[in-house]
Amino acid sequence: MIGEISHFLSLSAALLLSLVLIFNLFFFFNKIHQNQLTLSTRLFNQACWLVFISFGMYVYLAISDDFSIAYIASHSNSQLPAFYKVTSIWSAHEGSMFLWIVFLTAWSILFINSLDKKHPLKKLTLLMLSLIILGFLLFLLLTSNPFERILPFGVLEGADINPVLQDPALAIHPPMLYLGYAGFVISFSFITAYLLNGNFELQWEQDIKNWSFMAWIFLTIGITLGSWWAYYELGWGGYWFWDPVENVALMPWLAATAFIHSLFASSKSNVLKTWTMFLGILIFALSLFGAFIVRSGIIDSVHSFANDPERGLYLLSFSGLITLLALTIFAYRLPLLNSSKLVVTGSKESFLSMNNILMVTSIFSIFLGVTYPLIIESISGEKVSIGPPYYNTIFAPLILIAAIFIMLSVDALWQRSMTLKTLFITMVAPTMASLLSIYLIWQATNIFSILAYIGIFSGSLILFSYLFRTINKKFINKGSAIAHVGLGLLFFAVSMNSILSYEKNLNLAPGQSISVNESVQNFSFKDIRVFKASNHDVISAQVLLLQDGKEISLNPQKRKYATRGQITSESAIHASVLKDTYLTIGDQLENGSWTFSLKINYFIKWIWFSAALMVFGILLTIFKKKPS
Amino acid sequence: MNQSLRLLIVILPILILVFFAKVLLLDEDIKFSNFESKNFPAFELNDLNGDPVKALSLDGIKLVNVWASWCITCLVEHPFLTKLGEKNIQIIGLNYKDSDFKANAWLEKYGNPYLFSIYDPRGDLAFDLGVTGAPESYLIVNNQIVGHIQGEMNQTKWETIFLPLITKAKQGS
Amino acid sequence: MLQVRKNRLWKLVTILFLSAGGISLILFSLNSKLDLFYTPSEMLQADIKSGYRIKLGGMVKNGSVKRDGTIIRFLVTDFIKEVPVIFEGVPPDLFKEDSGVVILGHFLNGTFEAEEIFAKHDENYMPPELTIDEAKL
Repeated sequence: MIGEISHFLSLSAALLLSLVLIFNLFFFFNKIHQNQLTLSTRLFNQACWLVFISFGMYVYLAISDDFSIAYIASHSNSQLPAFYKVTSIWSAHEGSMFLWIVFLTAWSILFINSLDKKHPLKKLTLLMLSLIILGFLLFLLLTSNPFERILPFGVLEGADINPVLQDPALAIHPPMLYLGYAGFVISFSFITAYLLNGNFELQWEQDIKNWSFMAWIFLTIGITLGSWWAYYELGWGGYWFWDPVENVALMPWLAATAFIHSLFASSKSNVLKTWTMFLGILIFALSLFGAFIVRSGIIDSVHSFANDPERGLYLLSFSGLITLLALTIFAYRLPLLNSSKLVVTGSKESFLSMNNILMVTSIFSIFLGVTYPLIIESISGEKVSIGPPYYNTIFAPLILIAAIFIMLSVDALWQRSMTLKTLFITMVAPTMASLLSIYLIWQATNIFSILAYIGIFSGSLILFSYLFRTINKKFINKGSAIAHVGLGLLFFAVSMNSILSYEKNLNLAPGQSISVNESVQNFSFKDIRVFKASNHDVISAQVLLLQDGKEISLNPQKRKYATRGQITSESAIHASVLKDTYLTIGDQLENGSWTFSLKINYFIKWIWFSAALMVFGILLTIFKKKPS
Repeated sequence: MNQSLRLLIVILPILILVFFAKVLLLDEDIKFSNFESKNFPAFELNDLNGDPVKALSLDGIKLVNVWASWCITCLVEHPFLTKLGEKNIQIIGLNYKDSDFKANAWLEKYGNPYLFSIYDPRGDLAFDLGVTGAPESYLIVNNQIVGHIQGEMNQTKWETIFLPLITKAKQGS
Repeated sequence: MLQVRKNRLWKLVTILFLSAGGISLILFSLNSKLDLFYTPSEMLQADIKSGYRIKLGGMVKNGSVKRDGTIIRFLVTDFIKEVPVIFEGVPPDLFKEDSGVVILGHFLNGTFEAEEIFAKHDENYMPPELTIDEAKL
């Protein structure tokens, strides 16, 4: 019963949104102007509320174990804690699509109602948002219906969520990510509305600035959570694999980063407006593209959703339509948009302008990496894959250039060239310091990898440049400084991690110990225990390490889940400031001994910390009080 | 210069769209082997009633459907299989890694769309067929495997994947 | 104004130069750093240059997994041909017999030396051990 009502509410929401569009079309052709906006806004708001209530009911269905709903039966189980019953909703395609729509709706209703009713762009923005939400609702209801029933009686017990998905980080990762992707529908719609409207005297940047920053924050958190989860859960000790699914999240992030920088130039100095508009459209277009890639099955990846060409085709057409709509208006209005101001070489604007080019180049490189296998396969039938070697090679020079830009542009002036003197001073000290760091690291570790050293150099360049500015008591915009320091730290930590980390595979019987190397002086496999937990059996190894003079106790486990019989391993991680000691238990051999994989991962904590810094820096920017 | 840039902004996405549409439409789910024109593997198993399955007659057009009582998605595709059976499509079940007691109870409860079901508790025949899970369906024409669907069988997949193969087979004979 | 023209010229030259460099880098990386994907039959038929890193995809043959200390040996099959694989370390959780894998490594002297093993997780995949509690039926 509740399932039917929930389904009905979603259908009604779609209906109301269609009405918004139809009425406005009618009004347009019949030149009726009174109360048009009030009516549209009311219908829109009500449609949004229907979506929320519908989803709320769906959550209730999941919590109350309604296994007559096929999706809930396939992904949940009565034995799951309530929290995971809820999070199971977005563990697969239909439910996560529903969540994505809820977030689109949430951002939209908040934004539309934040606009003053006299705001010239309110109506057009509302129409764009209605169109987009309607499209996704129809996609959900027609091709990926989460409300489908198992007839005639349903099943008595759910299939259980994959135990690997019963994890707090993984449960929160999609909502954060979707909040990020969905948030950029605002800049997309607002800018398109601006272009349609045609009055280019209007200022538009301020209206979407903070909304875009907020969306950027969610996107960053979402990507970081995914990376963090992959690190501690997958047992490989890796945190980024340049997997297509990861790449399609990174592309909007790069576009969003470029956008917020370009927005800065555009509102402060009235240049780069065209770029900013283009980027604002690009972010959401890339988010849509990402959704398409992940859900259509076109790309084979270790974590893509199930194949379904029909869904893929719908998503492709819809995303393509929306994007083309925006881009066509943009292209059409382009001649009218060109600002008369010239960008002075060596000014802050010029760096921001070059940064846009840099970001777009990065996005293009990733896009090429993602599509190249498809191109090759359709031409020669050969199956190839593009992996870390390609991306590392491409990104090394890109991050170097980014670091140089950051170093130079912080001191750059608006609308004026930097003096050669400033240029020299800004460059010399950090460059020298960074080269010295490279030299010291090389001497200390005796490892040389050109790509990694480019990364270390880039990171150091940024860090030292801010250090010297602080020492010289120069003015720094705190939010931006913290965010950039975070980025520099990220470059540094990732590169150090790649040259210093190592792995040792061991084979020991319970009671045995071994000396691994100078750092891990003693590895002692004390005991192995078997016991039962709530919905799984556990095999737990007790290992005592003597590492760098300290005793560390680690308990890697293997778990067998009752409902699926699936076996997962939980790695034991001891995280200290400089490195993570990461232990995974393998299999038992015929002679009773066990295999272990011991990984020492350096600077991992710094990677998470750098993401936190970036988010914190942007938060400061949003909430900083304007000087009166 | 400006004119061509404007055109590029619109044309480029269109080209990308067309490319992906093409890839999507031509994408065949190639998984690990070429099943087309492969002989149905030999086997020695019983059916769900305990009787040995004799020389399985796979002449003509038959559907072999991999199912199990523990498989939720099989329940979802079940009404469609029933409908196919009513249309005189011959379906043979392959009961995969199941208990015969549970399997028979399941058929009793939900209805039996199969001519009979091969009982494969250890998954021997399934392994030879290359089954990766349930449900899965194979289209057999004159003892040759000509089509394969992984996951739920539904109207759309039937129409787009199996039906053309059936039409082709009928024209051939 | 001559100065403006000169500036523009410099800008253009720099952009062209960087673009040429960028495009060369991308093309070079694409062509030399891609991993070719093969099934066992395809790989045995093709002429793989030694030292090339490739991806091998197939099913882990039932009963073929043998462990020797930290070394694992198994066979990857596509039901037409099979390839012996050797790997050192702890494989991912989803690695088991009768299941799909993709392996990254080198094919040398008749054995595939694996550097990394990937086992795919698909939201629709139903592992056979799933059971429904009969008491609740």
